[in-house]
Amino acid sequence: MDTPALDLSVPPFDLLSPEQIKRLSAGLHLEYFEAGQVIIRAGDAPEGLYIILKGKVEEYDGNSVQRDSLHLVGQFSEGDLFGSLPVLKGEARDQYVAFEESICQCLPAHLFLDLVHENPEFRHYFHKGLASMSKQHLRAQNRREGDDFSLVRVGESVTRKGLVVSADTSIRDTVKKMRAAHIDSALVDFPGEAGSYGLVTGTDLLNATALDGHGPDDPIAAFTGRNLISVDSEAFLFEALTVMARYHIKRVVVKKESAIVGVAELADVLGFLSSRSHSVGVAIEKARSIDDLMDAAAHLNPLVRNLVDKGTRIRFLMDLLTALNHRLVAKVWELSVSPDVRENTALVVLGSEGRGEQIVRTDQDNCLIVRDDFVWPTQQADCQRFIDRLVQLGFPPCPGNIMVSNPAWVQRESEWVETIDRWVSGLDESTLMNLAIVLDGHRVAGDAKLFDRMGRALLKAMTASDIFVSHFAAPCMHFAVPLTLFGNVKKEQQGVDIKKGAIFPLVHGIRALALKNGVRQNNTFKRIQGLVRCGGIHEKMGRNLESALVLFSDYRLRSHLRQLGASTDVDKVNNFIEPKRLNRLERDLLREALHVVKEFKDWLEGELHIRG
Amino acid sequence: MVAKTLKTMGTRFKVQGTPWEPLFMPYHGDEVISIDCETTGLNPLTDDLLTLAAVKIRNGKIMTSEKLDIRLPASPKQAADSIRIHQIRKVDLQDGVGLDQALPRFLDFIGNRPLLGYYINFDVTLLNRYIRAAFGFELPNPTIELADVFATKTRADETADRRLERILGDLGVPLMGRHTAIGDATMVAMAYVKLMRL
Repeated sequence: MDTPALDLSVPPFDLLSPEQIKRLSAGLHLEYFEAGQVIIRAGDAPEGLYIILKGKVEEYDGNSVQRDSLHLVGQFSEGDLFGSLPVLKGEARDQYVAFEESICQCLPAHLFLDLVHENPEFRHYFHKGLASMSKQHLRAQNRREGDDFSLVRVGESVTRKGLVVSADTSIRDTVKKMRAAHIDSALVDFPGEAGSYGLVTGTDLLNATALDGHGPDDPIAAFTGRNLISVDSEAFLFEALTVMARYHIKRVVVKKESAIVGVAELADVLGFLSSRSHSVGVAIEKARSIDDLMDAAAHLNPLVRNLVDKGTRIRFLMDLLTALNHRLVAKVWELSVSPDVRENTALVVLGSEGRGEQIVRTDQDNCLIVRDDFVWPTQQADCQRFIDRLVQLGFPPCPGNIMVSNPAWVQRESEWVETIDRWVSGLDESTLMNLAIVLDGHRVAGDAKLFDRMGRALLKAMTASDIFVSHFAAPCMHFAVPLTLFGNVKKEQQGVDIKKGAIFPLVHGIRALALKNGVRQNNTFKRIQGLVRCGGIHEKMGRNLESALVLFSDYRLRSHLRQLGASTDVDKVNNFIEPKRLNRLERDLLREALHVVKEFKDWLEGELHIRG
Repeated sequence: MVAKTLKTMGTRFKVQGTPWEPLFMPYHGDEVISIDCETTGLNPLTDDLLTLAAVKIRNGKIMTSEKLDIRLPASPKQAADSIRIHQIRKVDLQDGVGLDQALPRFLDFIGNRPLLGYYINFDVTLLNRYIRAAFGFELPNPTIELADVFATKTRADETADRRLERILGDLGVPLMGRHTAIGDATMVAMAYVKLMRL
């Protein structure tokens, strides 16, 4: 007989061999627990690990006799597995109690330990760390979906061996060589500068001869581009596309460990992909009117849905959608104000848009820096028109009114410096949050120097005193991490607020740490990597935090897409994750990720001397 | 009751020196065996045994790791009726164990422990028919009727619904492989464990 009501085809059991599965199902027994009955006593060596067939079980901190929410460490329900850690350690640190009457399968300790001993993958699953658990999850998904185009790497698909010519080659000879090689670009080798290359394209050669008066015998050195934009050969195809879309270029140099291995051409990349992502990008670039942009923007959410269905990595989606959204915002700005305004201002997107972590457009935060001496009588009308158009294009208005249609967020350069100083010394919650979202700012249009100067002023003000950072980080502690996935009935229906309880403390904590350690990035993943490099956080914690954020973003994205359904009414989208919609493994991962955030918060409290 | 005791004492004399002697010793442990049979019909005197399952209950735990789940070879009746009705051919049931192996394994597994079941008399009557033919004695084990335990523990009156589905439903026992012998034996065991805590 098969083991009743226990799915052995999901991780971690799918890691076992058929013979091991057989032994496992033959070794299980069933236990019934009354509400309140202790299943594993803290300090004891547990009889085995348990899989819940029916009922709910709670885990309480073993150091306390109290059983209240303060000491509640975790909750488990149907299909969940608990007790593996106590079995592996030979002693339970926490107490496991039946919350309501429960029926569990018990996998006896000796059998579990045998399986763990025999099967390295099975062992690895339980010795985890979230990072490897997610990888396991991802692998299971990929197995289901087969090879996905988004997992194709630049190096193995579209990279052409570049044509290399010397910088003193004449235009004529270069054109001959390019025609012979059937390639529209050439890598240019500068003699005496080993390993340093430039790039020249067919268009460059045409411009040089037709427009700039160069003769066919002139060397190409004079107009060869030296600022090569490159991607790693291990990068996914989409990443090459993102880079091309961001810099408006048709080819990138492909590097492997900083050595050039070839060139990837846009035409080849597009030939490889059947997705619409690039065509959306192109449509945005080509748009001449707001109507054109509307058409392009209408494809964004279907594109996201399509990519999610295909199993595209969340980090990648973030990069792609950020590049597309930033171009979209910049384009609207371009179509809404005169060139004069654009030259004398800098348009900055803030918060999650600035960090590049928004996938579904659920919000907009933006501000404008205006040159001190610029006279702009139509400011209010221009800004209002710009925001109206963004709303029209599907960027919902900011509930906190952090938009350039609000004059408080359009300031002259010197006013911004004063405002920032006032916020820093103000130390109340709302100004701290203003500083936080400005710290995430990313310039999408206008004068780069204006933005750089404001950024420097911001950092200077915020790092002037050590105490400021601990005040700044304090809001991390405001919301408890929702470790209990199945609280009371009301909560259960509503689910877990993943933004408030998990994403915010993680993102804000990392933001504060990055500020303290001088890591100048505005993306949370890049901040984490920077912090690991400079020793600001431990490598393992960094890895776990990255995995946790990927997981939260993934669950939230899927929840958003489900809530949106076929409609595009973003107002109704909330940030609740309903545990009942997750399968056992997903709940395990979520629980593990929430623990990562909890540990991070505990550590952060000491690290930044936060007074709670 | 007296008749059964006399009969048991007689048989005990008869099995002296055979491997089955321990079956007739009084039981002092706290283990119970939940059993269930699937048969070709509802008459224990004429219908044939198809599958025989038994699960041990120890310390309130259902030891599905110590269970018996035996499928018997097709009976002539099964062959005739089932092919017509279910299109199950005889070959489909050929992985079964012969009766000559099944009965000793069953007796060995249950020993002198009490037997638990739902309408346990049906199963015992049917099994006795086979055991008598093979060994010349009947099961001496005490029996526990789930429907009676349920009625006593829940103080249900005599007219109460005693269907298995109803009992399992009232007790909140999850359905596990209903209509297989091992599934029913396991669920009956679970219901019994719960009732004994009341």
